[in-house]
Amino acid sequence: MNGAFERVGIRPLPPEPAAKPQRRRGAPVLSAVLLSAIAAGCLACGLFAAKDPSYMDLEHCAVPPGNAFWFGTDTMGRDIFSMIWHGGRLSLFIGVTAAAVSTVLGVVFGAVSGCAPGWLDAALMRLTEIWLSVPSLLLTVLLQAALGRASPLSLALVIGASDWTAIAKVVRTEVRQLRNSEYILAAKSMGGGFFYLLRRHLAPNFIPSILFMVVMNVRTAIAAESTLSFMGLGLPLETVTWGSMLSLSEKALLSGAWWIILIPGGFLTVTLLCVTSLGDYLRKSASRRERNL
Amino acid sequence: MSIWNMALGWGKRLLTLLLSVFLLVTAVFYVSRLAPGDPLVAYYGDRVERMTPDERAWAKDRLGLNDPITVQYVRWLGRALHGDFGISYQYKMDAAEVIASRAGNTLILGGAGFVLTFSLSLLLGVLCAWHEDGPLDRVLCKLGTAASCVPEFWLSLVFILVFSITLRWLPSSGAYSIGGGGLGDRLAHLALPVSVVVAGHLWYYAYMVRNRLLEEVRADYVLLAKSKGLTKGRVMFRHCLRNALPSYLSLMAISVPHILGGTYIVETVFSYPGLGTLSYESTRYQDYNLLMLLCLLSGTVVMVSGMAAQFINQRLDPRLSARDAAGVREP
Amino acid sequence: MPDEILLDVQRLTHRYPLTRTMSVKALDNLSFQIIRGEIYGLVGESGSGKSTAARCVMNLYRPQTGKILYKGIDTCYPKAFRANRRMLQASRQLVFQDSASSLNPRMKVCDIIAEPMRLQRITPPRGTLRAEAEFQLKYVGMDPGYLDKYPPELSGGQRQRVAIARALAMEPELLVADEPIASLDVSIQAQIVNLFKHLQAEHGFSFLFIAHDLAMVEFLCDRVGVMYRGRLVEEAPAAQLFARPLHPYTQALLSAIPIPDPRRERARRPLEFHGEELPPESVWIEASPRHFVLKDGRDER
Repeated sequence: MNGAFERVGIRPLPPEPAAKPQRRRGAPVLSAVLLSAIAAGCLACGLFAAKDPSYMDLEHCAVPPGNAFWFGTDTMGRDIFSMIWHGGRLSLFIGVTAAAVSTVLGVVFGAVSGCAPGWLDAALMRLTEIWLSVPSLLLTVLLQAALGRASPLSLALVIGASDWTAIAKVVRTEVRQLRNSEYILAAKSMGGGFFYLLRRHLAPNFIPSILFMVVMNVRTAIAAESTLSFMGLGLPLETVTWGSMLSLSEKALLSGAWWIILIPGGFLTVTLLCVTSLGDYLRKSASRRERNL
Repeated sequence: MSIWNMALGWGKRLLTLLLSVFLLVTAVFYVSRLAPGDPLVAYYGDRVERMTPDERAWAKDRLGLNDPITVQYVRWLGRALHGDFGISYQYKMDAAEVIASRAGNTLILGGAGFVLTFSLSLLLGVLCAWHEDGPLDRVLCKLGTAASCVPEFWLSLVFILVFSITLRWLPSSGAYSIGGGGLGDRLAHLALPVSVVVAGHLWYYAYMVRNRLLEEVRADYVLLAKSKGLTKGRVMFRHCLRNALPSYLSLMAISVPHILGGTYIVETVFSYPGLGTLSYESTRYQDYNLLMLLCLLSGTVVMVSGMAAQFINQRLDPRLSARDAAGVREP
Repeated sequence: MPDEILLDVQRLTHRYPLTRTMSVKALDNLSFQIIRGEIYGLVGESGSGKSTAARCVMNLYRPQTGKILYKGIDTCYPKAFRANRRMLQASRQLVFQDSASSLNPRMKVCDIIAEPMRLQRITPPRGTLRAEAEFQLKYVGMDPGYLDKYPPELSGGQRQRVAIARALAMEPELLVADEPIASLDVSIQAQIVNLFKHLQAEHGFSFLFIAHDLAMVEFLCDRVGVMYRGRLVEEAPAAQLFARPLHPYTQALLSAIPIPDPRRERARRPLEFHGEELPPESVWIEASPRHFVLKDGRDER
């Protein structure tokens, strides 16, 4: 056996210089820390936010922040401190689930469209354009109405379903570029099916370019949930989320109870900001890598 | 030949536009009717609760809601083609009239928002590109990212809290004070909603102008222009901005529905009587005819603005129009 | 040893549609056979349909008419293909021309080599997939240190070796190589051809070798078919074909081989072949034992 190897002649691999540890420039450390703090707080809310977030203490309605109620109470006498963490859990859940839904939809739709023959591809792309042309808020409201009673899961599905077109477009473009490359043909001739090709060959090529879109979709979804719940089109008042907490703000405006508006909104905005800066960082590093290649 | 080709291209596009709007309207019609809820509430208000089943059936029949959805759809389509969009259940008026009475307000709000966004983003974008990576650029970029993250409805609430309730400078709702009021009154009512609309969109476009300009600045012809001895200002405005403008204009054309649609939330928070509040009400109370007309309208606006963007791209970009003249067909 | 026919290509025709009414005939009534354990070379100028033939053989394209019998199975017939899919996919392997595009740039070498085994769910004979990949990599003459590299980090010859290792990992019975050396430097070409020769001797697989470099074909192949415009114009054992080419196109092709001797090279006069269209009434005749040539039917009369 060894003789055979000698005949073809193995040239040993020259030792390569030890890789320098790369310093990641402009990494959003502050955002990552803040976001993980908020997420950890929301996940572990039972430990420190002991008050029942849905208990209405009617004797203490709209109490300003103080020792008894750290963040005050809302107009229905609920403790805002507890609500922030318990509601945040739901808001984050909706954001992440919706982003996951939109990613799966976008990837499958884009990959199918990218692999499809020309006429089908054109039809599918026209469909996404029509989908895009419906104002997104109207779309979510309609879809929500079609699904029936709103629950966090159904809302996440609806928001995800209304926000997949951008990902689909990117995936389709990438797949169309790749689908005739020879390594796809090779894998096909070796017996790889559609989903195998998608997972092993196509996905690694488009994931860097859609990763930041996925993160941005988390942001969009959280914002959409809060907007919908605020307008009374999303989750009902009893289901505590950052959005539904803000739906009490009209009353709060009349009584000048700023904490009911500013505290949940502040948490919401800070979360959105952190997610955005993470997404921005991902986008920049993806485009940097492409330029270096 | 070239003109004939162009006409053919635009005809094709118009056809797909009509088809798209048709598909959109069809989908909305079916989905909205599948949704649970009682459209009679919109028409009869609280009286619905006291209605006997017979009365309900009669009322539904009168509004044509008893037929299968497809029958209703065909009837609606037939009337719509003749320009009759039915009555709004809530306002008991022709849906078109309801919309006509509100459209002006939205156009004022959206138009003002659009013009301000357009001019300010151009200004800020040029400013940032001019001071690339300088302190001003950095501060503006950070500020812009932050501002674009704030949900519009919350920004509206904060504005109301600060400017209407605490400072008492500006009114918090409506388009004008009860009993009319002059131009000043209208402007005062517009100030807050318009600033929210502008704040929500401005940074995205400003950032786009900045990046587009920086791309141009990196191009070789700028070096040439500099070596000819042109000043920085001249290069920036006469060369870079001019090249960046077509793509910016076409982006703005696509964004018309975005900015108009953005007023949807703002109008609701500020109780501003425009199309946004109207669509909110019509979805919420299942005012079918009104909803359909609004969808038709917004769909058309979206598609038309998309076409306008393409047109701008073709007309304004000298490279593309040169290609047109050479008879190169679009893919 | 009886000559068992492994691959039998019968009257293959394939067209590429250009527009609704026009099409290009890439293969025109192509027939050839490959015997178990032989190296069959397919040569011809670019555009003569060699790659199309290879892709039809690998079931990547469906020919419009004709049959491809592999071990007696008609692979162009969907039902027969589906019934024998695993066997067909495992025992026929393909090496592409351009190794830069036939290896996924985002996969590591060890994953690339193990890919067919993973796809066919074969338990690797050397324990893990990685050990198997390492063995195959050594087998084609590369240091195991390359297992964790990505294709863009390798040279062209190394990439082609990886592609060969991937094909050999399945212990194929038929290896189809579609111009495997065309994109390589001349010195590397010799290495790869030597490697092919050595591997074929060790494994004994049948080998369809497609090339336009005649010197390599003469060195490597047992039998050679010459293609022109989608048709086979001549087929003979390699030595015989190079010693006594019969068809004018083959003669022209052979006269184009440069001679590694400056004096004789200067005297070399390439022949030209202007048979733009082969006459349709050509007939396939056996000029001498196992030496076939396409003769213009009108000459015979």
